[in-house]
Amino acid sequence: MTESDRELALESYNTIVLRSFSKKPGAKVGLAILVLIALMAVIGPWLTPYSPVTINPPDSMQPPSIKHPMGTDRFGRDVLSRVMIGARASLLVGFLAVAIGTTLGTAIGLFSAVSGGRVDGIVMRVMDLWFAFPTLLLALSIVAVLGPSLTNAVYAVGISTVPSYARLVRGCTLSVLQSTYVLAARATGASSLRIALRHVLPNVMAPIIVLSTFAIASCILTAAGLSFLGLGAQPPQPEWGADLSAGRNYLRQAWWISTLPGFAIMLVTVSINLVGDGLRDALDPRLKID
Amino acid sequence: MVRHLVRRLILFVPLLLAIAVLVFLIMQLLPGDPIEMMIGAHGVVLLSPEQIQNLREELGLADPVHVQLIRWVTGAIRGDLGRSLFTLQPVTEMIGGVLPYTLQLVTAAMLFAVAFGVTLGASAALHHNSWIDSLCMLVSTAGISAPDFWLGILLIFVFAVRLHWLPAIGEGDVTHLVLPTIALGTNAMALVSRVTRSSFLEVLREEYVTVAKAKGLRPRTVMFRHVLRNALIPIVTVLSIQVGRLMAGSVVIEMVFARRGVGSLLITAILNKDYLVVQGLILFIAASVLAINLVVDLLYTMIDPRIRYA
Repeated sequence: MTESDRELALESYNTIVLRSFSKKPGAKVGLAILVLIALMAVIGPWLTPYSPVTINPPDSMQPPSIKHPMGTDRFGRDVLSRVMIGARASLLVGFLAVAIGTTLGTAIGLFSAVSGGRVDGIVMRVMDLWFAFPTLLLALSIVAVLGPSLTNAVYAVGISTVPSYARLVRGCTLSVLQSTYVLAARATGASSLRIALRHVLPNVMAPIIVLSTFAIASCILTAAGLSFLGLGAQPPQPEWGADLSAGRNYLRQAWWISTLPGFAIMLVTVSINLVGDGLRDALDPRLKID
Repeated sequence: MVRHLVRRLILFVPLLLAIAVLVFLIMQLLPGDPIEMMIGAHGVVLLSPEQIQNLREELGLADPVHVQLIRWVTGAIRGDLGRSLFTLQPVTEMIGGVLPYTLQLVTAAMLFAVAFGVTLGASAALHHNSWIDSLCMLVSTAGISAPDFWLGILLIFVFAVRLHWLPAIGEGDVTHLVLPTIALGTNAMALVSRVTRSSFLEVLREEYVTVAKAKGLRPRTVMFRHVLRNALIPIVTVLSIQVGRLMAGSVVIEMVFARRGVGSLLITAILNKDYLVVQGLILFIAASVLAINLVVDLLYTMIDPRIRYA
């Protein structure tokens, strides 16, 4: 293919994907919500009406009002401000954990598929074991060893996503390695590394993107769960899961402390899932151009 | 396939041993001296350095790591996982004491997920592209996205705090099981409903369904004898993954509803740095997950005859 042919082909691929994605209303809604939340996370610190960490005892346990749209918690902190800043923690955790999982998992998957034979067998055995262990429990064990903190929660959650990527990438790589252009590349003396990076990776991108989207949602949920248990974000850091836990004992008097941060988690997760569904259909393998 | 399963059965024990070694070694990375943690746990006790050293030797903590490892692993094989640093109770006893409650919860959640999930998914499939389909899909997306601990709190708030219909915490009779089951099982139910829907849609398009209908079979017969049986296969696959997730979820749900169970035992042990309990629990959970996966794979071959000869 000439350079201009390739440009044309790439252009129409992206256009096809975009068009398919924009046909789904759910995906567009999800994306819109996500963009808003991401914006809020980025410029949040300048937008919050009150400080999320300053204690203000006289104002504690106020129900939602015009002054405090989401009420205040038991230390008098504005819940809305905490929810807005908490978005940063949750989104960061989601992205970083998935970044860890993607890089490690892809590397392992590529290595395993390209190595083949017994190495492949052993690596996949280990991956199966890793995969079989429930995510939250794996993350729990890692945090138990490393100590409770949001950073350690990121590592723990990220590590638990590795086997999914490894298995996916390995499967894709194996099928790509069968194709003729790879055979041709080998015949002309391309090294394994070059084949991996130049031929395999572009074709594995689409499933990885879809997996990553859903993985971000599940990582956010797992990290919130860890924080809820006291093993993730530590006080006074605003984090949705941790705030949920803090308000648990005050359900009778102040239901808004627990319920509203949880609602935020659900909103983000639903949006991500909607976008993921849209992406998965838009990146249908039938569109793949080798 | 049978050969594959037999191989997995044979590998089960060595695998478990490998996990036990791994868990033990990881726990060794934990900072802190167990003796000091024990002393701290039982209040300030002034022990002379010699007494501390004696205690250390008595408990076998003065021995080199590999000796301790072998001792723990061989103990584990015999069913002795050591004693908690806090309560001095044998770990196996602690697990055995709370296991029934966890089993109760997980089983109930699984049944809930299957019953409601399949019904929801099947209804969606049978009324494809109607408002019922959209509604079911909405419910399932919400179910997948809602954090289970939040759901639990919400349920407690609505049904226990405001309506006083159901108890909020503890375990005891069936009423105590209702809210935790819904909180734990909703996630799984949503997933099952999605898989059921796509599976049903696929099966309903198959030729043998058209033939069955053309033969004049009653709709009910077509459904149960042909559609359901074949649609069940991917559902069982999903369920096998869900078991592990339900066990993990029970950790959080037990905390929310203040139920006794394996999950809350684990959390308490982690927060107390009771590392022997944590060790034993992780090993136990890993063993259970492996065993359940094996059993489900066996069941799988029984349901789908095509796999047997693959």
